[in-house]
Amino acid sequence: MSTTALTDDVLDMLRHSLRHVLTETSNVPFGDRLAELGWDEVVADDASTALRTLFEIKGETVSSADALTPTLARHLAKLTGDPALVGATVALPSPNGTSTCEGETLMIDAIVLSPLAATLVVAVGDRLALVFTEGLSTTPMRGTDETLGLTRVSGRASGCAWIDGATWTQLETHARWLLACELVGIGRHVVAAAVEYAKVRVQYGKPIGVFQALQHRLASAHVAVVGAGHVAAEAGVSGDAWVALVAKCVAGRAAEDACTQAQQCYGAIGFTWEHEFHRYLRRTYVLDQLLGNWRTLEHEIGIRLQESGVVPRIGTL
Amino acid sequence: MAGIDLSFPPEAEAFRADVRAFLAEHLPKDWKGLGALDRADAKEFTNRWRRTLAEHGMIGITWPKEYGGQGRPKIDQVVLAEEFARVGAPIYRVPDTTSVKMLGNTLVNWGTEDQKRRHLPPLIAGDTTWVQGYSEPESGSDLASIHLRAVRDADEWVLNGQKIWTSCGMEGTGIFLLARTDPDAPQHRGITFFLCEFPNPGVEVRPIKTLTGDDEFCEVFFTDARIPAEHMVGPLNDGWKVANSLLGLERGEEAATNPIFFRAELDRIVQLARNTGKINDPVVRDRLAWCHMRVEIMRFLGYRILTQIVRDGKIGPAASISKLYWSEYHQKAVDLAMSLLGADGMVREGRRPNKHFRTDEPGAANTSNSWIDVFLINARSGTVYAGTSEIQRNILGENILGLPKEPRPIV
Repeated sequence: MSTTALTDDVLDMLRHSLRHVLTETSNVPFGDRLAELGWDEVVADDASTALRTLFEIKGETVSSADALTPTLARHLAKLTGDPALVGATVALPSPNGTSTCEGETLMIDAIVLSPLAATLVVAVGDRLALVFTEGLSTTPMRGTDETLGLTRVSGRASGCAWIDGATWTQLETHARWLLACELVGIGRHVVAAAVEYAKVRVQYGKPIGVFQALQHRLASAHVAVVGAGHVAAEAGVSGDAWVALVAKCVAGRAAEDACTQAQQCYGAIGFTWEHEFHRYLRRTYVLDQLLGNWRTLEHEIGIRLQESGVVPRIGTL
Repeated sequence: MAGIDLSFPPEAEAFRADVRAFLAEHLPKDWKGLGALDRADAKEFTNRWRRTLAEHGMIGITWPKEYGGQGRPKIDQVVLAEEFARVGAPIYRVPDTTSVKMLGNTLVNWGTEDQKRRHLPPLIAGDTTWVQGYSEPESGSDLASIHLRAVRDADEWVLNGQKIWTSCGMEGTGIFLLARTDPDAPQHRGITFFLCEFPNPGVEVRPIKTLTGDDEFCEVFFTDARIPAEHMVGPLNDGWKVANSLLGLERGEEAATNPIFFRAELDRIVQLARNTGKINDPVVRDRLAWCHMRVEIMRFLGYRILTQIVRDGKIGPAASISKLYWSEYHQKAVDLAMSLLGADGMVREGRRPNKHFRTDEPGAANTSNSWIDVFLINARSGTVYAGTSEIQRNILGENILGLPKEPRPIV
């Protein structure tokens, strides 16, 4: 297991502060609010524990604050040694296409989770380009999870600068790990909340949690989430692209499974707007779609195993 | 175990020909199924269509003629539902499921002469809409534990308590409900079936927003709500039997129509696989084949149920197998549709479904909105409503396999 420079006391305080900042209503960009917490120092002490904690709590609280964009921007700034990139919006590739470059012109098709800053980082193949956002058009992707603020960015950017010292693969690895942590946080919360419900919901004169049919559902979901949590933690420590891919895949599947099992325990109340459950269900679906859903990632894992003929080792296994 | 006989009686086949002729004559010429219409158009069409059906004796066909029915054998309703399903035409409006199908048939079996004369004709005409008051906040799977009290006071019953998950509650002109009339009797034996017309000064109906944002369910509060004594249906303290008696026919219709609807839905999923270019993916093909086999098995489960209905007039334990089978199948099928949509499933586009149970209507386009709603509510709620999968498995284990009963508390 990894050791952390953050003591338990510090971690507890950190969790408390993060929970607050993730759930408060504020117009200040999330990255700025994190900075006020002294976040950069915490990350400097132990990046993998700090970021894993942030994204797990984001998942647990189903917060709509955009932690991904500023985290990716900071990671990019660190990789390139260019602190100015902290202020840029980092885009994810559009699931239906990619940004392309023809001569001097960049055709942009990407997704962002925050309102656009003055500059945008987009992936073109494995290269990263920095463009001005003026003149680009944005379309809100309204749908399954309205609270996430997903927006499609498209248009023609004339004049772009290629970013040296970092690749899209590096950013994608980081993002897949963070999304895996968030999905683990969702799964953990969904199972825990269903367990609490099963303790208090009485049918046939007993809490429904006494019935093995439900115990087994929740126990299976718990196993899936715990397993996903271990892989996600390892992905953070190793920073390895393969482990991040596996972590995202496993976490997406675990969170989906947790939602399915929990919803059956909730019965009808789980189909209401007023109950929190549907927010977790929607969020799981959308996060699973970002940077490859678990089924496409499983497919990718299979192809790579087939091509290499070698099973990569994860961690110290 | 009952065998399977795929033949209907000759009289039922003759009726089938009549139904087909009716549909050919009355459906719009370019009819592609209710799903091809958007929400508002579908509602408008269904209201018009329902009037046509009532005028031509296509609603309540098994009910006696003196109450506005056609006096036809019960199997004819199955034939009608099957033929309508084939062309994707509704057999009535969504709230008629409780109104016509549940209450109407209950009254035919258990109603007094006065109750039948008073309630059945307007049910057929669509002038009244009855919603169901069974579940309570503390009584879901454990339905027999209901607490809503009915106390006799001279010529009236006084109701106090709460019902919940009442579908289409805001559209109801009345609610049929189960109430506890003898708190000292064993749970199943102290329950009585009542009718309560709206408006009633002691009744308040509040919508519950579903996770898709619709006002589909309601909760209904009763505070010293008074109803006339003659609004009791069936014997006093025998409401459990009254409520359960109509399940046979209801499941018979499902046995005939489920395979048709799920087949139509699977056709749409195959089309979706083509549209998204994923039809050649071996995993997708494997999942499609899995779905196909399940739908075919569903057809044979349905035939077996229908065989029993034709032969014995009742459905038997196959009902639990069927409920478990289609509801768990449906979640897998819709998961497949959603994974075919992939990232397109993040964005809502196109028409939304009209109903929030089973499949979207035949003829529905492969819009993300159709599948998102069916994913979020129709498919996922299927293993919860009308007896959860856990309850169905308990019934199968205990009543069919004959396993020892799960320990139950002494009440």
